[in-house]
Amino acid sequence: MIIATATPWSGVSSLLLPALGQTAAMVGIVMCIVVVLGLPLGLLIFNTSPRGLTPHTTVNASISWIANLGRSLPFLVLMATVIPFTQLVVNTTIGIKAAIIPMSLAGIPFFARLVENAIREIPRTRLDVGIASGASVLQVIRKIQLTEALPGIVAGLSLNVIAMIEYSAIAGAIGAGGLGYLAVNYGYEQFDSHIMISCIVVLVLIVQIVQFGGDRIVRSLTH
Amino acid sequence: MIEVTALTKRYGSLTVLDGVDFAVQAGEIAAVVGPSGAGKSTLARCINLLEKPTSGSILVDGRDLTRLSRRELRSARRAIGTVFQSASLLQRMTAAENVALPMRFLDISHSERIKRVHELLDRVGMLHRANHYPSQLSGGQQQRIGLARGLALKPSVLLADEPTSGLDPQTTSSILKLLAELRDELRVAVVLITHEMDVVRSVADSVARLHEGKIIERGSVAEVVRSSDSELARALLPLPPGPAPQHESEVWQLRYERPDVDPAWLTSIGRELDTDISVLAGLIETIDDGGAAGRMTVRIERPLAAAEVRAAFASRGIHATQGDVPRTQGDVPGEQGDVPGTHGGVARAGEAEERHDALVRSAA
Repeated sequence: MIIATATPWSGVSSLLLPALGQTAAMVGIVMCIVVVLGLPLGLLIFNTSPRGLTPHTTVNASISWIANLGRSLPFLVLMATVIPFTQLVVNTTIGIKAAIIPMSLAGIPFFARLVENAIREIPRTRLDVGIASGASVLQVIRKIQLTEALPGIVAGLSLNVIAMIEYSAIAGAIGAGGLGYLAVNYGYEQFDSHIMISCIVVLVLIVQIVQFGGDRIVRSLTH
Repeated sequence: MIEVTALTKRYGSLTVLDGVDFAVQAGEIAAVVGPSGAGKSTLARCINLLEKPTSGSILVDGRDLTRLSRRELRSARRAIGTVFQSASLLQRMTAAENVALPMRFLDISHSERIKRVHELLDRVGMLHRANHYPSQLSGGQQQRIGLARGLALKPSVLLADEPTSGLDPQTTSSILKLLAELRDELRVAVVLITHEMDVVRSVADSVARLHEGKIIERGSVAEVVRSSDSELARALLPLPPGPAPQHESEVWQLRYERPDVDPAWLTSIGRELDTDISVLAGLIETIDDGGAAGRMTVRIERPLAAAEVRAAFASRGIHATQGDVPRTQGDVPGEQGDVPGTHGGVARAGEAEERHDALVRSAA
């Protein structure tokens, strides 16, 4: 029989702070990977579409399909599905390192779609402005698509960070550590209400801060 | 100058442009008009090579742009500047950055760019708005920036695709004035694509009418309005329907054939023929060459020999035809209500009266 013994409030921070650090590390690393790979993927999906700069039906259909694949599985299922791949890449199936692989696999297509949507919002004539004045495809992407879509991309970025915080909590299930792991192992399984409440408060705060900060940046980028 | 020859564009089995020919000289504004669906926007996209024509050639300064490779085309494009509908400025760049954009694409040096942007903003009267973002500018100001951007690479051809759509009449006329100034001072060949007949009348030197992908009527604006009663001529100088004539035979359609028609003709012909003349409807305007263009429906109140009436008008530079004019205007733009006098029965009568009054005043 388990007796519910809450960690005294004074002891909460010694558990909470390392967990917060682990969550930040996981989300930080994953977001770097997501931006580096998701941004070009999003550009590729848009620009091979019929409205893009270099329409290509086959390429568009195949990458679109792959991107949808990454988004169609619930994260817990995706995490389990890619275990062999995780083992192959990072040589382990537990811990932060192991969590980064499924989180990236879920985050990249998510971000790619957000980038694609942000670029789709740019009216076609603004791309024509570039082409008609002699810009190369890369110049149109850099100077027009990315510049004009920047507020939308940043908005997508905060959305993505919040989704990754949520996924990092789920990844706690494979021993990835972090706030989610803490909440589940101490708060839920050991009925430690102090830990549970602290985790909830911190998660809510982080999400609010990310959203608020993101919105502020978007506003400052919009003219 | 630009010379378009046998330009054809097909999408599958659909032919949007069918052997379009026209040429625009340096220092000339050539308008292309037509209803929506006639192929105007496809023509614009073919001229600046956003769409590759199916066949035909586009010669700019003697060089056929349709035969260039992608790479060659990039630098050849600078010969054609485009002014887009509603300016299409980049929202996250200032006015100055927007104007500089085409120069950045072609790696023109920073100092050269600064100099040229200053020059261009000054040219379009927007120097004081250089660091404003498009959202801080009015529609007319945005289109001035659009014009400056179109001229950034010193093109010999300026393609203006519905440059005044969505602008109020006052702003429209200021943009058109600027366009005429640019034509005269920079000697660019301007291709003006529009559906607004007022725009054509006030700024174009020549006009071509596009209908189902073909140019079916063309000429200088003065020539078209003074020497024919074609649909295009009637759309350029539209007549509001006047009060219904009681006896068809007494009604005459008049058209100014000369730019220097004496405005006192109404009284002088009345005296010569010893009759009253009633003006039923009319439109007289000064067109771009500085001369008058006019179209009118009048009633001769005393029965007279047709030849005598015709001769009296002819001696004053006015072409006269007996009978009521056909009212149907086919597909010429203006029918949808762009042209004064073609919409709203009440407004029409008012306009007719106003013009009538003006005419009587000028004749008296």
